Amino acid sequence: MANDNQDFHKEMEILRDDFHKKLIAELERIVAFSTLSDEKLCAPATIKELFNASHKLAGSSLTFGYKDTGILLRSFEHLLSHAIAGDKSLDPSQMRLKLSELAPAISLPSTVNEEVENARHTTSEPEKPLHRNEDICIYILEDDASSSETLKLGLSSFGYEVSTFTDILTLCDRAKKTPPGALIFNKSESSIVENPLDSTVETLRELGLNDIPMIVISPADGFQEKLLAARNGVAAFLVKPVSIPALESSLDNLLQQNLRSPYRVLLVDDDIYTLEHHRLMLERRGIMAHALAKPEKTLDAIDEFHPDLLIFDLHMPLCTGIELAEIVRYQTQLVHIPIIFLSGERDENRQLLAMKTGGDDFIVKPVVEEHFVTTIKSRAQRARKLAELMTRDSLTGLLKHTEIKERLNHEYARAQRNKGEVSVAMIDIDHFKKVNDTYGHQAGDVVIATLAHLLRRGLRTTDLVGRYGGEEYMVVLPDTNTQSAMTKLDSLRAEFETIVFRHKDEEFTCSFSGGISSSDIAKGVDEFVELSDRALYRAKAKGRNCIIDAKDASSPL
Amino acid sequence: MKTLQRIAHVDDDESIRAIAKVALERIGKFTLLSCASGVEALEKVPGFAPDILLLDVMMPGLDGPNTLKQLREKMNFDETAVIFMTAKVQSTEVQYYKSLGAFNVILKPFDAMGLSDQLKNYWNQFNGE
Repeated sequence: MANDNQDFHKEMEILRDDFHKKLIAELERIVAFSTLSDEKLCAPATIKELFNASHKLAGSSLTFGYKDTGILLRSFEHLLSHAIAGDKSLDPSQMRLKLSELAPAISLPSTVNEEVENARHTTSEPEKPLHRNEDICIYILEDDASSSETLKLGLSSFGYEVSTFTDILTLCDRAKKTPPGALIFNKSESSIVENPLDSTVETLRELGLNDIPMIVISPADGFQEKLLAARNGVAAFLVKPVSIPALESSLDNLLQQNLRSPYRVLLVDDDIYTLEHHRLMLERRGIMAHALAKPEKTLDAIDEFHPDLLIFDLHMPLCTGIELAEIVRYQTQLVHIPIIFLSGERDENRQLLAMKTGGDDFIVKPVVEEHFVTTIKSRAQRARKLAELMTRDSLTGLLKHTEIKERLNHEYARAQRNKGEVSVAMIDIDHFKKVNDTYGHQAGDVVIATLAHLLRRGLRTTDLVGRYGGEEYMVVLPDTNTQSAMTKLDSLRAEFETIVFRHKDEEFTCSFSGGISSSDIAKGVDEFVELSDRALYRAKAKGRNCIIDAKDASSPL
Repeated sequence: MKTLQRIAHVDDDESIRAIAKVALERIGKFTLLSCASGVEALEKVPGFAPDILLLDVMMPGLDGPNTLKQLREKMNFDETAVIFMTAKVQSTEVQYYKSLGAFNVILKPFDAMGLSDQLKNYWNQFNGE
């Protein structure tokens, strides 16, 4: 097979060289049309011929990896198709402009194309770390030239780098160089094209940019609009007028999804061969699977591994999968984890019984890989979403008060067990009441959500951020001493004070204060929080906009 | 199930035919019939009896859908999976192609390396696997 692959690549190379010659010849022929008189250039027969030629050449250019040329040809094809359909009369100068854009492609070396090929063959994508300095860019596409300034300004204040486009091809051109984290399609009421979403998605897909998550902002809230969005793989659908925090939160959700850790699945089966087979099947598809052959260890494994989903074999000598499910369900904190049973039998009564004990699905062995993986992925995704809704604050997407305390307990216990260190920081926005009183609650909400966003983006994925009270946050930093925590939080503090918030025509800035302590100096988790709290008050007393370490807080000011 | 072996490919673009030929013969080890137009397909495809017919949608003269319509009068498609290839795919269009009897649609530009595997998958699905 290795040889075949080599041959394949060799032959592809030859084909590509051939194609390059053909491409140049055909481009020359197309560009030569610009020497025609205006009248001849816009004659229906010419337009038809150019349309056919550009359609064909666009298709093969893209197939051979000539993306730039392909895009230019596609845009020419689109222009001509409008003329053929009769919905726009064609201006000869427009045609000439497009033809002149194509001219430089003739002298393009064929090596560009190899780069594209090479890029395409590097499949293993390195994991992207969350970096706050590396601002995520967001592209807004307007389907007509109405204003999206408010969106742009609003999102900029959340630290996003926002660019606006009115033309999908220009956007694609830029996206190839700088892929955006998300694309917002701001649909206007007075759209001239009937289904701009269809053609937009089509263009993106053609250019291999269909991985970009897309949010649609629609003027209408109808079923048809949503159906169209769903069919085009749109990730989020918002209705005008859209509030900036709402948009930010769905944006954030999307971006997090891409960075989200793989689904975790715990497999329990006494037959180690089947177990291993299933585990490999899942791992191959990017799901983290932990295989357990001893059902009696299930609860420990759940505690250690934190699975999103459990898969139990129905027939095991020690206990049945149904009994095991009962045991899991005794733990009330585990009720939300979906349980899927695997069984060799198709007996419906038994399946029904399995469901009654709190199983969520039933898969018959031998499993079909596609079905198995899809079922598990969709179950895990829903379970995560639900768990998130239960545990996260709706404005900020941060953990709720009880949840962050729960996690802190967990991290504290873990640090004690492993003789490690965990730091906790309490953070409070300075003079927040004044913001609310001066600019209103909506502006206050933007400030709260912005800080939440900053904290989440600025910290590691293993760090935990919770909304502790109104404008108070708790940050838990596992395996971190107060010195590192201090450096990290102080840089975030410095960044926060530079963010400019806008309310109507006024601009204002905010700051926060923080107190940090480490599990090293605390006796018990309550004292741990209290130490941080006291350090926070010190910071406030010291004049705000600073971070204080509890170790220093004990010394006089 | 019969193993996928014979594939007929109809596309007016010589470069695409060439790339598909290498992909399907070299990687997939299939027996390939390549046709440059709908008219050529009408002449050669019935005698070739392909397992899969890969049909470009937009061709000058006789386009993909019309080629299929006329082929139906000449041959039986019970054991042949028809797959359209097109650059434009909107969900409504896929429905339309399926209503013409297409089993599935492959998007252009296609991935030459993966084309054979993709066809094998479709073939398995076509045979209810």
